[in-house]
Amino acid sequence: MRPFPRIALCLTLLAMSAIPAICQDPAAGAAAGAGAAAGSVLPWWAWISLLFVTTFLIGIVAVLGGVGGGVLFVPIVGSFFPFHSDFVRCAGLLIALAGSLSAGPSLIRKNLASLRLSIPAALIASAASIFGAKLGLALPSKAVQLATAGLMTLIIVLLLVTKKSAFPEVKASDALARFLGLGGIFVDEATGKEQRWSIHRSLPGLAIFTVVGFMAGMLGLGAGWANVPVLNLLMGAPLKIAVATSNLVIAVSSTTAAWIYINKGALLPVVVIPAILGMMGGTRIGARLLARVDSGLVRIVVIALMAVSTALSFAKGLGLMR
Amino acid sequence: MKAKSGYALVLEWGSRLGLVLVVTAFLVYLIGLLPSPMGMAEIDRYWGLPLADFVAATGIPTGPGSWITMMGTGYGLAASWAVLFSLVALFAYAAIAVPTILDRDYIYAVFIVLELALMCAAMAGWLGA
Repeated sequence: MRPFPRIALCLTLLAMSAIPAICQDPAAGAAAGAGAAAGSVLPWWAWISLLFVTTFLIGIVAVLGGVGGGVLFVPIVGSFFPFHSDFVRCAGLLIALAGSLSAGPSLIRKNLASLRLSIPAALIASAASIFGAKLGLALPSKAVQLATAGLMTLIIVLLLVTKKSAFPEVKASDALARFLGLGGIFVDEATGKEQRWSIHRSLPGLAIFTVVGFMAGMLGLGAGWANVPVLNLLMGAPLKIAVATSNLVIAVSSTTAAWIYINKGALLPVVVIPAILGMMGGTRIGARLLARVDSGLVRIVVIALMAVSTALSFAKGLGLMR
Repeated sequence: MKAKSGYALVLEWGSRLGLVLVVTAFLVYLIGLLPSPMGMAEIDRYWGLPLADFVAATGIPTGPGSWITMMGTGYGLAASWAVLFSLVALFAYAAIAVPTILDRDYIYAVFIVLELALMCAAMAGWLGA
């Protein structure tokens, strides 16, 4: 690994871990019942600037680590910033949406994102995400923090134990996949070869999108963390097809869930807009760095960040910190 | 194929337009060119409140279409243009509905219509927003 990406990565990690130490008043915990600003030592513009910088860094790390931005954004911003988790989850859905919208067109044109595969998966996920969003807004914030922490623990375990397969073996596509015409051909840019792909285990695979959509809507995490393993490991889509198609699924399921939050008034522009802009900028830089960094090291950084934010979510959920 | 390229085109131009509008609206809000239900200087008093308390304290309208009613304010304008992002996927699905029907791909036409109905119902608050 060259020195620049290594230094950039370490600075990213350092900056992210320094945020709570810099910004939170030690006496804040005593200010129960007051607005978050009561314990803040920073003015509003500093929080917004920090949010932009943090989401920019999250965008870089998310691309390099191969995880969606939402899965880092919600626990990190929910733990380290003074915004209530209702606003953070709404922003999480909208940044997942913005990210998938910006990546979607080129993935479709390269024939990597399968619209046919995404449409039934997105329909199931978006229907479930509505119920998830409604439950998320009805639950007390401590319960949501605990649920986020629990799911993050599961995602960390998944990241540690699952090995993605570039080209899973699909001996024969199943009846549902044949009926829906799920499969196709794409050109693998790494080898320049045309690759034919098809799907198996369509029914259980599509059924799992119910759970994925529900959790994504409830916690505002996006759903790339689950979409990709389901499409790749269970249904047998090649990894590149799974990653690209997951983007299309997120665009639709996040939209539906986001409306539940928006209609309740959870769209706070000072949180959502800097987060969208930071994430879009960060993911572009991350995509440029992608070829130059050591993916193993990035994976460790991502898992470490997720572990820290999960611990903080647990602490918040259990009332150990504000 | 027509449906695919139409979908990509709507996503691409929708997100570009959304980005330009959202940055412009946010600058209008930050600079204070339009009146707002809460000024930037007092926003940090509210952003840590649970949603129900936030709505009660600020008087921000909620419910379907509330973002349209606030468009005359800096806060509402910024929120409205951010909402645009969540309309892009809906427009993209609407753009592929007709080509899918013309291709006589009726199963997918049903999926697309159901998805459009779901998105519209969520937007209109019919699903208990």
